[in-house]
Amino acid sequence: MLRFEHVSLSYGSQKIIDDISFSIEEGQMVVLIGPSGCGKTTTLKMINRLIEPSQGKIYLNDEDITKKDKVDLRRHIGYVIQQIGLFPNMTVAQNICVVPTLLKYSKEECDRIVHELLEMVNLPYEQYAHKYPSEMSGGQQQRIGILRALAASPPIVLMDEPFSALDPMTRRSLQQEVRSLQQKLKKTFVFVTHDMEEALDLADVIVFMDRGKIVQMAPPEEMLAHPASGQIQDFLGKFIHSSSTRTLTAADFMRTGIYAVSATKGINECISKMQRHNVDTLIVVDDKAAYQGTVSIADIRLTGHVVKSIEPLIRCNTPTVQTTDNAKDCFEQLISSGANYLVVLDEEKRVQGIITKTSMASAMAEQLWG
Amino acid sequence: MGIHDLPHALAVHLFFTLSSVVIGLVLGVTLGILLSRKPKLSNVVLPILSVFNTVPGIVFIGLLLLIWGMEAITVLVALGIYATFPILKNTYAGLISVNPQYIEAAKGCGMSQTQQLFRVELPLALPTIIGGLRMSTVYTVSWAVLASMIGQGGLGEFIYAGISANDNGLILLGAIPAAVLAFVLGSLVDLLQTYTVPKGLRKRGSTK
Ligand SMILES: Nc1ncnc2c1ncn2[C@@H]1O[C@H](COP(=O)(O)OP(=O)(O)OP(=O)(O)O)[C@@H](O)[C@H]1O
Ligand SMILES: [Mg+2]
Repeated sequence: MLRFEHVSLSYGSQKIIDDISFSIEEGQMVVLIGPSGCGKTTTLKMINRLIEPSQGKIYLNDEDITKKDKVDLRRHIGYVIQQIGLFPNMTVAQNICVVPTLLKYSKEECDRIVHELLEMVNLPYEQYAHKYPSEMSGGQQQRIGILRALAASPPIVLMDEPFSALDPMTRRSLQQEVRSLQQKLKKTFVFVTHDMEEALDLADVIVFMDRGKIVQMAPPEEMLAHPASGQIQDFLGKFIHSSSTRTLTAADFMRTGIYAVSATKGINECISKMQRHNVDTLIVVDDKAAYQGTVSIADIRLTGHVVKSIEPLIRCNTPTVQTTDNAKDCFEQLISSGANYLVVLDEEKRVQGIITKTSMASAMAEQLWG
Repeated sequence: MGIHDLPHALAVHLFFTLSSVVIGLVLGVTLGILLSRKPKLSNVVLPILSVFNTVPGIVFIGLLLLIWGMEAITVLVALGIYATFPILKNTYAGLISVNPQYIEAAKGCGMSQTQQLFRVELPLALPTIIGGLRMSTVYTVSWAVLASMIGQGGLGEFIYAGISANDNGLILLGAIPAAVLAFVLGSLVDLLQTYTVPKGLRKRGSTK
């Protein structure tokens, strides 16, 4: 549907957009997000050629957009500007029909469109069609701004922070309206926001930008599960915890900094290590750091006079889990096995940490209260 | 020279005023639009025009007199050019002060340059342009007094005759109708303002 190929834009020596490439499928809701000044608006405006890239190509339905007539191109791309921009000299009906009028639709057709669209956003025709923008609230104006973009049924609609100036209630209801419109009309939407909650709610695909580059382009779930950078993680903020309990793993819950000994170590050395760290078991590893088992102070006391090394005393009855195992499963295993802890191993069977009831509780507290 | 000459003088005065204002309107709006498309050029042209504007009307008429002689055209050209200034300035100011969000919206909707001008920019600049028209009209009424200087009649005849005859009554016979004319034409432009400015632009609660 829409494809950017190595698109760059510089103002003087400053690179505003730095070699971005991506493509968007038909019918997708794509949300551009990123810190202020990262180039979201610029990217959006390049699609309807309000800004021309200095390098690279943009294709709409496999056609290079620079080969098309600008004016004609824009009449077939819906555009909602950040400041709403309803024409104050025109009524609501005239504003909605700006593009149909430019496309020379008949009067009846325009009228039908106005009726239909106003109904869709629950603004009664009789009451609103002949009002001027100055006679309407901000939220109502914003709705009309969106309708203006939809009026000529363009296959693709661009929206630049359309809800930025609204109170949370109105915002929420408009977001739902846009979402349901998009699903009903099966249009491709490119939506700019700096509100992650909005992005997660609306997007089929989120494009995260920073300093003119795309840092990550992924569906919301994937971005939550695997944010590509610390910055994205910061943007995801609270959502990353509350929305991703399913994806927590043993690694999130384990305690690191455990005490391990080599199987060839002598009894006395083990005892002194246990005493020093005030623990009653040690984890035993081989010379490649792979997990062997555990050795406990009780066993050493019982048989310590007979053997010199701990090798015969190693027990393998402590349950082990993988770092990538689901945290919830680990939790259940810890409770049902009655073991004091679980040993967490990586793919090479190296010990990464242990999960104790205490480490579990504190990790959960952190998830809950941050 | 007496009161029976008044209707004719008034008619001549009105003719000079209205013709010059029409010339000024056409020239002023056209040039204002052209200059607003070329901001760089305007930065040079507008200051020059302002200087030009300060040349006293009487000097200007004198100059044109050398070209065309004591003819009506001399008056019309001089007054027409003077009437152009306020309209040109206001058209230019009105157009460049249109909020860029409307321009961007107009472009984004796929309007051509011309459509953008006629459907969005001019309607939005209209109150300012009509403000210029009002100024122009009121000024021209008083400048038209100069017509009589080169024997082209108008209310100025009474004033000049009054001055040379030291007859205050005669001066007032010219001055009062001129003042009334300025007031009436100014009010007509105000009326025009009310009817032509798009409804959505009128301030709610204000009657002007
Ligand atoms: N005409 C211009 N000349 C020079 N630099 C510009 C121009 N227009 C924009 N920029 C710069 O380009 C960068 C990207 O601007 P853009 O408007 O695309 O940012 P944005 O991601 O939409 O930011 P915001 O979230 O604040 O709207 C900014 O650093 C801005 O300062
Ligand atoms: Mg922006």
